[in-house]
Amino acid sequence: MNAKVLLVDDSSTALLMGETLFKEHTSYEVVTARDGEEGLQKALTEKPDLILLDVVMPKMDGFAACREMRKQECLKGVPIVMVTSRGEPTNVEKGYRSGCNAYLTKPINAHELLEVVHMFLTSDVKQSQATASAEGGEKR
Amino acid sequence: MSLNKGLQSGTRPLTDAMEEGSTEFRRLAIQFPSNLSVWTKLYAANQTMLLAMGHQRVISALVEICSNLLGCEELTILEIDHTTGKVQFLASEGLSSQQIDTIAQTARQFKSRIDPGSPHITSDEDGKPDSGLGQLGISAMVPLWKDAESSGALVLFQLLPQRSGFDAEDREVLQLLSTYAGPCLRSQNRG
Repeated sequence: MNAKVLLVDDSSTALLMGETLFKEHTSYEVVTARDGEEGLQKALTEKPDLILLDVVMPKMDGFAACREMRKQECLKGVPIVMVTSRGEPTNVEKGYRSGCNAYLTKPINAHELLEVVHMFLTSDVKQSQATASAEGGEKR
Repeated sequence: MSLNKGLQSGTRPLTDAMEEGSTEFRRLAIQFPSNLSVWTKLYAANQTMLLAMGHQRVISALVEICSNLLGCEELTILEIDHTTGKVQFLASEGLSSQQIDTIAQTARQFKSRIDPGSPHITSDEDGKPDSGLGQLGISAMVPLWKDAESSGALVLFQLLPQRSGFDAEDREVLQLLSTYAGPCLRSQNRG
C-alpha cells in the first residue's frame, strides 16, 4: 500500500506545488487541508503516514495543530514536518517544542522536500518492518 | 518568454496561453527531473494566477506567490499614470506607511526600470545591487503591462530572514510574473 501524505496549508500555491510533486514524482497518496482545524480532523480520519504542516493558518495555527496532533494516541508516531515562511530561530524552537520532527522554511526546494519526506517514510517503513519481524519472532 | 509578444499584441487569449504554460511546466518537470524544483514552482505560480482570475482574486494570488515561492512578504502592487505620474496602490502587504509614502514620492523614477516583459532585480545572489532602488529597500520590480506598455509594477521589498537574495529559480518565477501578472490583473478588471 502506498504511503499517505497529508498537506496542511492555507495557500493554494503551496498546495498546488506539493500535490503536483507527490502525485507526479512519487507513489505517495496525497490528502490536503486548508487550516489547522481541518488538518487535525483529516489527520484523525485519513491516518496519514506523514504530515506537512504550515504555521500561519486561519482557525488554528500550525504550532497549535501540531500540539493537538501529538495528544492523539494514533498520531504520536506520525512524522510531522513544519513547512513555513517563519524561519526565525524562536519559531523553529517553538515548532520543535510543539512536537514536529523537522522544520523546513519556504520557499521550498522540491528536491529538499522530497528528500526529507522520503527519509521519514523510508525509516518509518523500516521501523514497521523491524517491529513486525520482531513480533513474528516472538510468536515463533 | 515567447508567449509575451502574442499576449502584448492581444492576438493570443490569455487563458489559452496560461493553460498551455501549465501543461508545459508539468511536462518539463517529468522530462527533466534534475530541474524539477523550478518547473514545479512555475507550474504552481502559473496555475495560481490562472485559477485566481476566475475568482477575481489575482492580487491575493500574487501576494501568495511572492510569500510561498519567493520568500518575500513585503510588497506593493501599484499602477502609475504615465501622463500625470500619479501612483495608485492596488495592494500593499507588510509595509509601513512611511515606506508607502516614499514609494509614492519616488515612483516616477521607476518608469525607466519597468520595461514590459522583464523583471528588474536589485537583490541578486550573484549580481551587483542596484544602488538607487536598493536604498529604498527594493529587491525586485516586476512590470505590470497593458497594451505593450508598462502600467505599473509589483514591487518586492525585503526578503524573509532565511533568504540572502534571489537565485536562478526565483528569476524564472519573476520572469513568469512579469509576463502574466499584468494581463491577469487587467483581465480580472474587465471581467
